[in-house]
Amino acid sequence: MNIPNIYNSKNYKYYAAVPIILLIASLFFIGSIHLDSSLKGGVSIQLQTNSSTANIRALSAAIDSRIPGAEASVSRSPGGISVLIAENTSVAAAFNYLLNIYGFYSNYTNEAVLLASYQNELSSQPNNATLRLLITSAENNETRYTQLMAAAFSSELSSLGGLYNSSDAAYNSSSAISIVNAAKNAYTDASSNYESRVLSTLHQLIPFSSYSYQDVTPTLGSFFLRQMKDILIVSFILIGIAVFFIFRSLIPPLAAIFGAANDIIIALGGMGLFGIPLGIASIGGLLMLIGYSIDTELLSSIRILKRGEETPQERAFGAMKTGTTMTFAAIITFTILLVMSYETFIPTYFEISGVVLIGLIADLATTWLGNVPLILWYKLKRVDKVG
Amino acid sequence: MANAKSYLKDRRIIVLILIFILLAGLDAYTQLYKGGLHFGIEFIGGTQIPITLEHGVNATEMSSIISTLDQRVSTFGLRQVTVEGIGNSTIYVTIPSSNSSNINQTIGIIESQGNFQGIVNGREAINGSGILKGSIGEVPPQLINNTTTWTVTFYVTDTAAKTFAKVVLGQGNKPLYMFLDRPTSAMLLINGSELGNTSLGLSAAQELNEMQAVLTLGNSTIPVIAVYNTNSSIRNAESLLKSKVGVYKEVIAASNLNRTLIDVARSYNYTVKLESKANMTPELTTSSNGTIIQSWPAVGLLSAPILNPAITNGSISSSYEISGIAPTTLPKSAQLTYAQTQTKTIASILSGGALPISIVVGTPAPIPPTLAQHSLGISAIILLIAVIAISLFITLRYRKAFLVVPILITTLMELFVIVSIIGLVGTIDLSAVAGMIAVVGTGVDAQIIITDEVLAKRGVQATAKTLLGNAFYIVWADALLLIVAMLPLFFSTSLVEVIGFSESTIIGALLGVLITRPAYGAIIEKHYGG
Repeated sequence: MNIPNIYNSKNYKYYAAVPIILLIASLFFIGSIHLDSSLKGGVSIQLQTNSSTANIRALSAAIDSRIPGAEASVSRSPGGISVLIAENTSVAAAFNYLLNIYGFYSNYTNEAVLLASYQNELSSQPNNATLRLLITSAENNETRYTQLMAAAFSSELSSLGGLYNSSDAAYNSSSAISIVNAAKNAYTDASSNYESRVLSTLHQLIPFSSYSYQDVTPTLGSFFLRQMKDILIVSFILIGIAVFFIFRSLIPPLAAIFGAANDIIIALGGMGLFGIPLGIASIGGLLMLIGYSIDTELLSSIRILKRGEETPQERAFGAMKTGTTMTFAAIITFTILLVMSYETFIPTYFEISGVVLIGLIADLATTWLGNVPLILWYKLKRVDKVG
Repeated sequence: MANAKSYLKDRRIIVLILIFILLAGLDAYTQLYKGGLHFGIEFIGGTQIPITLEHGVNATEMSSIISTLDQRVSTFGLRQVTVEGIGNSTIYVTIPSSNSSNINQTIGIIESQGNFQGIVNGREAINGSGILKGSIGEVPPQLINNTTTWTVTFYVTDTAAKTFAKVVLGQGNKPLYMFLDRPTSAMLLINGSELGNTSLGLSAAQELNEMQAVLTLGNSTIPVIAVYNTNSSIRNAESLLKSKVGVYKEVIAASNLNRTLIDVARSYNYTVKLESKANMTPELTTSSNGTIIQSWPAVGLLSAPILNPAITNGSISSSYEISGIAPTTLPKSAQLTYAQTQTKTIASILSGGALPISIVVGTPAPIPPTLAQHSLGISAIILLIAVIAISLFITLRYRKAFLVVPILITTLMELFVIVSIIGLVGTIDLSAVAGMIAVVGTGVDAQIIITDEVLAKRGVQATAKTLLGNAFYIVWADALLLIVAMLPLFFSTSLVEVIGFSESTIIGALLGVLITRPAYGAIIEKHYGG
């Protein structure tokens, strides 16, 4: 191949402008990245259907008009249809009331235990005035927690509206346990009624042969997102330490870390630009991307810094030939995964391959126009000093 | 170019072939006897049920909740159910079924609290609703004079305290039989030949008497029928079953009884529950108070502490404790463990096997088998297309047709080994397959580095061997870093849906550097290096 060696140019340092511009552009698009229901919370329904006539835009408008507050987003691929709707606010609010009721109930049982133990002591010392006071206060507390539970329960019911079966929500306002049971039943009814309502609405709009319905609460979604961030950070730190041990000097690990971070940021920006959703599965892709971007950085650093034959520029160019072949091989793999998962409707694969693919393309610029010039400059400067 | 024989003499190639044969054998064995490799619900269909805890818990509490749930779902005969904790307040229960009755049954089991009954001399002395929720206290085991004691305390409601005092009156030194979910409306068919305990000097008739005494409770007494392997005994049992149709609903039978008898019981529309020999055999203990049945899993008898005469004199108390001594024959540390286990068991029986915290069962997410089979097929096709495309790409890039052979062989072998290992010891789910596809990518990267070093500089100044050494330095470093990058995800306890991805890539990277890439290097070296 007769491609000239780009590292023989005196201005090789200025190549770094390309990855830097990409980085800045990506930072701009990261804001428009959208989280899928596994991270944002919400209901995700995958429908397997042969009906190809459905108009996506009409479908999502129809869902919005029939299910209030759905904010439906519909996407289609040859294998089926994916519908994302926001979590039902009444069911979500009821869920919080239910958790409150549980909290009050646990306080209530604490009081009940205290009450029993005071009464027990009282039987052996019937004239103890302090014990009598304690008993009265425990009894008052029991009543107070029961009232709080009843109040939270009525808020739960009013937020659920007509979603629950009133027979299940019957309770005795003075019995704490009966309130707990009724509150639990009302919530369970409501969430399953809501599910069947959503599914029957969808069934009227579009015939489907089978479905999968997944409901993630916003709390759990944000917890997953936090976990992903933690995992990424820990991974970066470990990688930095490992690269440092390979080279025993500061510049290569720094270059590698910045390179990997750059790839990830550009990948996220690309996801925002092309509308590829970020989900739990994306973490796999992001870590993979660290692996791939370190691959090429390591190859070039080892060849430039640790080998002796030819000039550093020639070694950098040789590394580039090998490295780009590697990256193109990976691009081929993930393009196949992306296309096939889009065609056949497997969101996990789509999320992973989307991240990796954009990141790999970014890596071509980051490594060969950003990192390698940096490592080369470091090597030449050291040679100058020694020589 | 070397001949075929010299390839088969290379140690690196032999290792690859041996591992291939070993795993193929294990796969075949699993397929025949163990139901095949494990696939995730995305591939075989199933349902995921999310459970939210009332508030966050620490790791110890979480693992105790998970193990309680695990026990519950597994004792009800639901196979392959997994219970996974996500963070500190969410648990996923996954069942390999999309059938709505199975899902509802599982939810019922998750939410259920067992029914505790304490029976003294054939009368119910106390039950779960008489015990104040949250009052059950586990006292840490105490070591006094070389004996380890365990204690559980609890409070009962006023009404329960009165009933208890009345029932236990004059029953000092008698056992309190503690049942969890004691069968109602059931008959027990036991294997007569297993009755009697010679080491405790107990005859068959005495043991049968003791069994019947334990199971007496007003009009919900469980009759015990001893069946011997003789025609007359079986016929007697059959006629007894016939005469009790409509009186009892369930038959609990030893699984080693005559099959026709079991079939007869089914034909009379009894619900037949077969129990193993271990569950059907009562555990007997002997003390100064005589021989008593201490536990008997088939009927839900979990413990039988002896009543202290001090509480059987009619006095009413709202607090009680159950305590005991760890067997002194055990070594010290084992005594402590025994006491801890005993405390936990008793506390859990008293609370009806309840979870220590309230839970909210969320909407089950079903994954229908049709959708699942579809994705398994697609995944296999994607893998295959990726391998072929990559091999073609490299062959074209280096313009050497020979390369297609070792690349195809090593990549396919690598995939086979990963699929086998994960399918044998873990679960192949969607993310694990995505990881395999990623591994194909990294594997090929390594092959490119090896090929490049050997082909590009061949004959310049170094032999194939030193070039391979150069290449492997980079390959090793790459694999090491990929594993390091994946470790945080691998050890994550939250993102269970993607952990499979890190498993595949880590196993793939390890296998790659240790087995398949050396074999690839060997082939290249022999072919081009000579």
